[in-house]
Amino acid sequence: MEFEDWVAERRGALFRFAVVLTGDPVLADEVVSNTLTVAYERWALVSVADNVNAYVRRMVVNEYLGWRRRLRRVTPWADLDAISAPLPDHSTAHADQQELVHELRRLPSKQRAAIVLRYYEGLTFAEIADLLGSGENAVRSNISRGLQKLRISLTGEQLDEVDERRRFPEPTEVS
Amino acid sequence: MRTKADLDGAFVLLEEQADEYAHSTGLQAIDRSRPRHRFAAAAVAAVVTLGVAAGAVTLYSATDRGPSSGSVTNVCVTSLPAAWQQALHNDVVPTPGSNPGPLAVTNDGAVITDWTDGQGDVRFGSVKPGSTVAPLGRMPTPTGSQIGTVAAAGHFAVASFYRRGRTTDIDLFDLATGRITRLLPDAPLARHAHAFGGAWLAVQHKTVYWPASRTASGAPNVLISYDIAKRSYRRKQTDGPAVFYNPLGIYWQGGYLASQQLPPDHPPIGQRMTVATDSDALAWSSGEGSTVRWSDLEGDSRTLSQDLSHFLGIDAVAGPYVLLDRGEGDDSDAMSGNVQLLDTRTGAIADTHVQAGWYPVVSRGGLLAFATGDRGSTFHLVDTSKLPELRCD
Repeated sequence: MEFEDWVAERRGALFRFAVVLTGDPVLADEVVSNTLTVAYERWALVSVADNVNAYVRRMVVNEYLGWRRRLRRVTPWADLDAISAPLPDHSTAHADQQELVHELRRLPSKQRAAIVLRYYEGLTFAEIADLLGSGENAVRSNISRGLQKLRISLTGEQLDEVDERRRFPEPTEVS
Repeated sequence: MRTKADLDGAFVLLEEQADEYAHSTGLQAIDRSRPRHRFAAAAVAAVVTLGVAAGAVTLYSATDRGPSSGSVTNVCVTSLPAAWQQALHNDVVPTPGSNPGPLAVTNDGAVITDWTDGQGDVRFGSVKPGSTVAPLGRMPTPTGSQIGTVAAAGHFAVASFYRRGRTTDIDLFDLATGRITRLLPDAPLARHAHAFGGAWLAVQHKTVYWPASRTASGAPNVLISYDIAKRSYRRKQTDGPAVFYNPLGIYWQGGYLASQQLPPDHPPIGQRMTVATDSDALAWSSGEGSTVRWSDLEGDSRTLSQDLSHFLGIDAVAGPYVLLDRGEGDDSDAMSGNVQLLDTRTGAIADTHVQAGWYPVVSRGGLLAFATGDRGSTFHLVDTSKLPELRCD
């Protein structure tokens, strides 16, 4: 497939993924644009990958993690909770979700990436480890710590939604 | 403490922000104008949707090919031969209970059907031409359960059910032993791509397939498979929606085919089509009602045009025959319609005067099963291979 055709088909989905990953549409636009520029330059290599979409998604994750690393070297960190958090509004779930989005944005980049890849993209621990270039235990640890910071408690049933081995423990006979 | 639903909600919120940002900033226009993007001419990202209604599916093909340059056969109108009239109207299968309807055909010629028994429960069975229905299972209707989709291959049938529109079960029926195995118990429907209320299904080579969603948007991005012999599950991640060509197989937009059984000639990318399949043939139309394409696994491809004045869609393919829904049925049942029979070998088309009922017309290997009357009061089973081809005088 030609690069232009691939971009035409996939850019929207890639941008959405990048927004969820970064928590910031402006940053996501930058990350995706940079990724696609690199992908264009290396298209002869990228286009023959077993799964081009997964390959470019990996490039987006790497670009994001690299961007976060570069940003921290040059940008003073400030706690903007006081001005960025929405006004308390306990009457709507939307406000709670907005608050959660803010907290997601403040997670360390690897924790955030691991959570997004696990619970948004539905990847397995092994797939995330491969994508992030780390071990499965590190991925599990990142996810666990991230969820803890977000004060998210997953029940067994909710864990099943992304763990096929637990989702399908054993087929059962029906009388 | 927060829950998984809260996290899903946050993802949805971020997706909405992505869409709002793209809309408000003219993201696509920026893509075209930024000189640093050497791919500036790239077109905007297509919004991928998957629509299914009454057998019409939107197809996406990563291995798209344009229409073939084969010859076009003009159709000609003829009258239905007596043997066809006899078969279509009189080859009725006796079924117990009420509201029988065909759901799928196995590749050894058994038709999976359902009916309502005297207690108001929905029951399943299989039947072959000339034999009586063998019951398979029972689904109590007071629970609010309904049938989603059914697929069959060999002596296996698989069915999805949904409960009050919220959860879905998938059951595997072994037609040889009568054993029923629940593959997916009480799963959230929102996590499973569904048509007609239940999970999409396919069964091939002793493996059951169904798509699932692991994204907050609900788009199917995972293909679950169950190996009947090994009693084990597998999953494959993909990036696009799945389209099922039952019983031909599965096409997966993410770049690979779960089934290699698609004909060489198949529908083009991104266009809304009505599609129907037999075990080795596929027919499709753009829906404009002027052209029908037919293709089989051996590479034979036919285009039929002219005099096919507007029709609603393709009801079924049975061997070389295509059944067209003319949409001229009884006003009391919006799903009914007069069915026309098109012989793709000769281009001959004939009115059948069959009023297709609420159930879909299903076929496999030239065997045609359909219900007529209000919500399928009569069950017909026709072996088209034993009937003469249609010709124009």
